[in-house]
Amino acid sequence: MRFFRYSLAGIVLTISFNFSALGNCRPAAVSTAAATRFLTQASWAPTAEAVAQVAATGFDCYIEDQIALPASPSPDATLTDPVKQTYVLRPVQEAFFYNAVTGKDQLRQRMAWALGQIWVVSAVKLKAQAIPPYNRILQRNAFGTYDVLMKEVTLSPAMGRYLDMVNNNKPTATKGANENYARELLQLFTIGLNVLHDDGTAFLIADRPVPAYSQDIVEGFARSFTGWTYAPLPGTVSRFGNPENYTDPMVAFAANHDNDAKQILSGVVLPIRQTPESDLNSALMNIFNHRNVGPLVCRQLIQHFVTSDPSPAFVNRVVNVFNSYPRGDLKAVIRAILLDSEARGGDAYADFAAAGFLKEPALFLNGVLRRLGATIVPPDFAKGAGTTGLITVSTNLGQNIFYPPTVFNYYAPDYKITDGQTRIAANAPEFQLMSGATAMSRMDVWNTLAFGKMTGVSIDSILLQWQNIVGTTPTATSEAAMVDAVFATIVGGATPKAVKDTVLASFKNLKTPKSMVSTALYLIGSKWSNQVVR
Amino acid sequence: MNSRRRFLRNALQAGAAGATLGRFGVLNAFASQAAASSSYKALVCVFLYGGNDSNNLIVPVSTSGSNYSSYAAIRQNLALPAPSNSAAAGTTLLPIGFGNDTYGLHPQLAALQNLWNTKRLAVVANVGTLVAPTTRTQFLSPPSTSTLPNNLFSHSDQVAGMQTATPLGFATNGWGGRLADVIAQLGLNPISATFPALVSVTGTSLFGTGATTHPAAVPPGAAIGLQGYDTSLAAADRLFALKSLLSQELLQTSSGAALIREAASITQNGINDSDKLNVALKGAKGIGTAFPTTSIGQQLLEVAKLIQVRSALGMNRQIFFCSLGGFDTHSTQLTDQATLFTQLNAALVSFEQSLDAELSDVAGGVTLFTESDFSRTLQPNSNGGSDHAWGSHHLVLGPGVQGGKIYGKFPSLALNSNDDAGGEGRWIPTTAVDQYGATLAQWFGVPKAYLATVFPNLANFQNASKLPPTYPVYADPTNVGFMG
Repeated sequence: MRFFRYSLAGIVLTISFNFSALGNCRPAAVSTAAATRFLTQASWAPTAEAVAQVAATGFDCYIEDQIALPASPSPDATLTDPVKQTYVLRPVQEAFFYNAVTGKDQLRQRMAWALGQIWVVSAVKLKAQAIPPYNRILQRNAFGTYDVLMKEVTLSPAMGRYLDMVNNNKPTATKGANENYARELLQLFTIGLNVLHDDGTAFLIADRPVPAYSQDIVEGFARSFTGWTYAPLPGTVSRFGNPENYTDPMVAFAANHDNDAKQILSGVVLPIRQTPESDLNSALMNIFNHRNVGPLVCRQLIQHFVTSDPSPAFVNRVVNVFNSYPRGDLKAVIRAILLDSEARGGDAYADFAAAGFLKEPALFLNGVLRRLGATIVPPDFAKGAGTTGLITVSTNLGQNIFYPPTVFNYYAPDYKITDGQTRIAANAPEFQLMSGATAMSRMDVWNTLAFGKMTGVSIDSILLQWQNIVGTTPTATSEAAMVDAVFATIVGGATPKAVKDTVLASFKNLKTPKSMVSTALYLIGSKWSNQVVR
Repeated sequence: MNSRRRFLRNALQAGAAGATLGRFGVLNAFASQAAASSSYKALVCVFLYGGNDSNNLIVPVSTSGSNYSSYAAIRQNLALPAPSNSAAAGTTLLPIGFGNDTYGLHPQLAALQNLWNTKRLAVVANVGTLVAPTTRTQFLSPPSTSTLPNNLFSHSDQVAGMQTATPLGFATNGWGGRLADVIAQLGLNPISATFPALVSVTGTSLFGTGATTHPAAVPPGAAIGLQGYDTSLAAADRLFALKSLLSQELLQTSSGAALIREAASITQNGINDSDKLNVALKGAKGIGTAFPTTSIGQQLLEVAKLIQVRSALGMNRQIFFCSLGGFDTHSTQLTDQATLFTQLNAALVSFEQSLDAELSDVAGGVTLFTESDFSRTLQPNSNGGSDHAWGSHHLVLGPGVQGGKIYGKFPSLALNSNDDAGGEGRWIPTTAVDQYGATLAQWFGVPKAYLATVFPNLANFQNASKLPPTYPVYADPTNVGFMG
């Protein structure tokens, strides 16, 4: 049956897709251009293979196929000094790029990376060995329900250490409970500061937003989360204040838990003498069922996949899916985001596209490598030694992978730019990393790829392909054909005349096909139009 | 338009805007303008991200208000040891005198103690985000038309409040950027100076974004400008093509091209600014003073280098933005803050030394000041740390500072006092960041009539007779006094 559908679409069938996953999706062939555009949103970047798959089976079946794929390998940090217990994160960081280019689970990777920018932890504070188990929670729950993700993260030792829930002792008459996790869980991970409509806009009274919670409620949650410590290491006696254990979920000690009543959201009071486990479960469900969770989470996910500034109607449609049974189903949410008319509107008519978003450095780099078919030296988990220059490059662009500066991520979802023409301010989170210096650094990336050599990364294959188009004796026609090929790969579609003229004019003092290819790649790559997803 | 004509236009606009220029206002203003131009000034903001616990920055040891005993009783395990002559260096509070009072600086701030003693360091007590003067009674039962900053105790909102001085709005520009706007309007930088007055050495910031001017970003120690260009004709052709493509993107008008235009515009500014900076840095003598290799050390070294090439850049006024993060000490506060203060102390002393050495001709015109999200609860939490609070003490240093003094009003170190927003020692600010900034802006040469452009809420604080009794008494509340 499925074979039949592919035949209808007239697509080469020798490509071995993972058919097993295709279940209830409705196959519908789409144009190559639409498939390519869709994959700029749903993967790190389109490849010929993925474009063929989407063109043949359509968006819905691609999503379903992706959801069924297992996560790319995410090994632990490398132990380099067993005596001092020093671990190195570098291979884990490099695996992030390696998986992006070679892994089939593109949508899961994008989703885990997006969720990790909501539920932020950082190796700035955490030890290296804390990061991979945390990443696996995000991978595992990328298409699960939000309440399960909330609980797994809350009890993860990485988050426990990062926002101080671990060893948060019950308060005394002269010392309060540690408010860190309670406050950021509410503000950043679940409900946000102000009461929201389902369309993500703020509920206003007398033109002012209404706070979603008060300081008392922060303190109520802070006390609900007391009494947890690291899980005991094998062969040790467990006590409150166990030594660091980044492998297993945290464990509770009733004696260190505040068992007074606690005021939490929506007028709920947790009764006295609950166990740490039941207080935690009640507190998390109280948050999960708050009506802000849908708008806060869905809006940010839309920003990561489709547009920085979604219309309230778009947010509302996705929130309706989030709020349907089973509540918080991320599988249904990502499907709703990617298939929404506002996401797909640009497939046929560019003018119907939403504003889109600037690629963050990670998406920019992974996209470049994937589109160019780069080969990358695999991470060295055995030695922990570096194999590529990619970490340095992403850091220069403002995004050191797994090292966001604070729990507020690399950038804020409501960071705004003001349009120089219209003077209208619009959300554009990724611009928080864009200074003149980092903007030029993106061009330096193209310079290194085109003219130099990036450690551990090779794009020789495509460079050679383009050089062959130019031929050993370049002609105006062969040069133009090469520029078209570069443009089609990097940006997609036909080269606009002004661009082609400009690039070709810059060849006038060049002699070799190699230098022309490098120049074309540098100039076309540096165009911002290919660094904005829309 | 030449600079004199432009200045006259601006001065006339100022007059029309109601400035008290007097009968010969324009001429007088022109005279002071000329004087201002000849003397270079720079402001250096060091933002302590995460919310620095200023209760352990400066501690009342024996004062007419609070004493060490009240501090130690509430702070418990977070209390720093009282000053002692016999203790090892770096373990006890460092005593500083102010009138008959004795305060103690954090044990790791020995260099700042020296700067206090040489009157180059001032402390401004209990500064924070405010929309209008606020008392404890008002805070606990806000009037119907609320005049409290948005989302107190939230990092993101309070960082924005301190950097924009518009704590009620969703500001898209900061007070540093607006100060740069006004500097340009007033002609305080010569019209030939096309390099941005505001430079961040720590990436983008709301503080530095202006309404009409853009900031430059200079990463410390990095190569400046586009890489990969040599002197060949081919490289010139490539650069020309790159700039042409940028111009084409700037002109894109299709719906939704706003992001592309903005990115192209940032790039174009970046290329132009770095070209100017590379030319200016070519003839620089360099900074011989040793700076620490820490992030804040290298940032301040970059600032010193940029001040050194001010003439080549044609600047009379510069504003710099630096930062040091990690102050969100909900746990392990004593060790974490000590580490950060060790870095801060070393970087600040190097900077002041470079002012006395390589930058001695303009040292008196360079003033450094701190900001932070907020301070932290005086009462500790059960986890070896403290939680988010509000008003915070800040440092101002430089040869031009009226140092060796505490400005503003030190809160009473008691829980549930009139200074407390609750029961944990979250100080309600008694000097608005607007007043703190306006003091610096006026020293910088901004006339009173222009202050409202930079600090729109300043008017709410400028009438001394209307401030609540908990607030400090300033002869002129728009000038806290630490700059004379």
